[in-house]
Amino acid sequence: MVARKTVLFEKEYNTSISDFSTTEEIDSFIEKKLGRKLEIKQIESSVVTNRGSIFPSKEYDIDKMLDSSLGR
Amino acid sequence: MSDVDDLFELYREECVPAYADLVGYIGDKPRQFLTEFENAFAHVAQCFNPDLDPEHKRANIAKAKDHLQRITLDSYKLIWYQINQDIETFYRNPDKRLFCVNMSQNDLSAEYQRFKKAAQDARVLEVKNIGVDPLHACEGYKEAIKIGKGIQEKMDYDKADSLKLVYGNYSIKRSAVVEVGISFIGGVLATLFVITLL
Repeated sequence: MVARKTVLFEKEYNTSISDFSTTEEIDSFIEKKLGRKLEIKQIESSVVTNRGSIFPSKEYDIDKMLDSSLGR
Repeated sequence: MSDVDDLFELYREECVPAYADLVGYIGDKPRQFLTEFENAFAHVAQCFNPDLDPEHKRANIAKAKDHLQRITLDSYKLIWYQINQDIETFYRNPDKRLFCVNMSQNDLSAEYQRFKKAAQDARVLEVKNIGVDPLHACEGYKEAIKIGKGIQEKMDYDKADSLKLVYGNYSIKRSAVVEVGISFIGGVLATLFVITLL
């Protein structure tokens, strides 16, 4: 395993990832820093799907988005 | 170490830091990840189902691991994607590129190409390692993110906002001048027409 380290989080929030063990702790910490609740966000994409829901919702395909950004 | 211990080590050591990077960067939670966590939990629950034999329990742990690996890798890919979107708003706009980035245009181009190349290399590595070691590409994506972050640190967002205001006013004034010009020419033509009729 690679040493436990973040690329942006620790520097951005001046903290250590070793103080966190769960995603819930991460959420609470960031909410406290931002002063608001985290929202469930749809990552932007042009793909619109129904997937059994009566409300069409946007869904992302990260590989498609990434490949398109990389010009592949 | 048991399969379950191994799974939760992956969660703590790889998944949580990657998730922290993403959520800390975008300041929100991507909807897709909720489904991935839910699916991972469902497979872990099956691991403790007394009706399942050890082989099926192991298979469920492997599936849970797949979900956590996907969250980890997708976190880095999403951060790269978001950073790229941000950089492109400057890079594709000649005025922002010239006036709102604190580095020469040549350096910016070189860094932006390095940023994309690092992600391309990571993507190639990822595709090569599908089904073998999906997390092998993580370091490549992390490297690409660091390069992108370096570019972002040179981007002057306040100046870009000022530029928007200045150009916004300039464009309003320009359209007003055009409208006055058209009205004037219309007036002259109408007058000429009336004179011709007389």
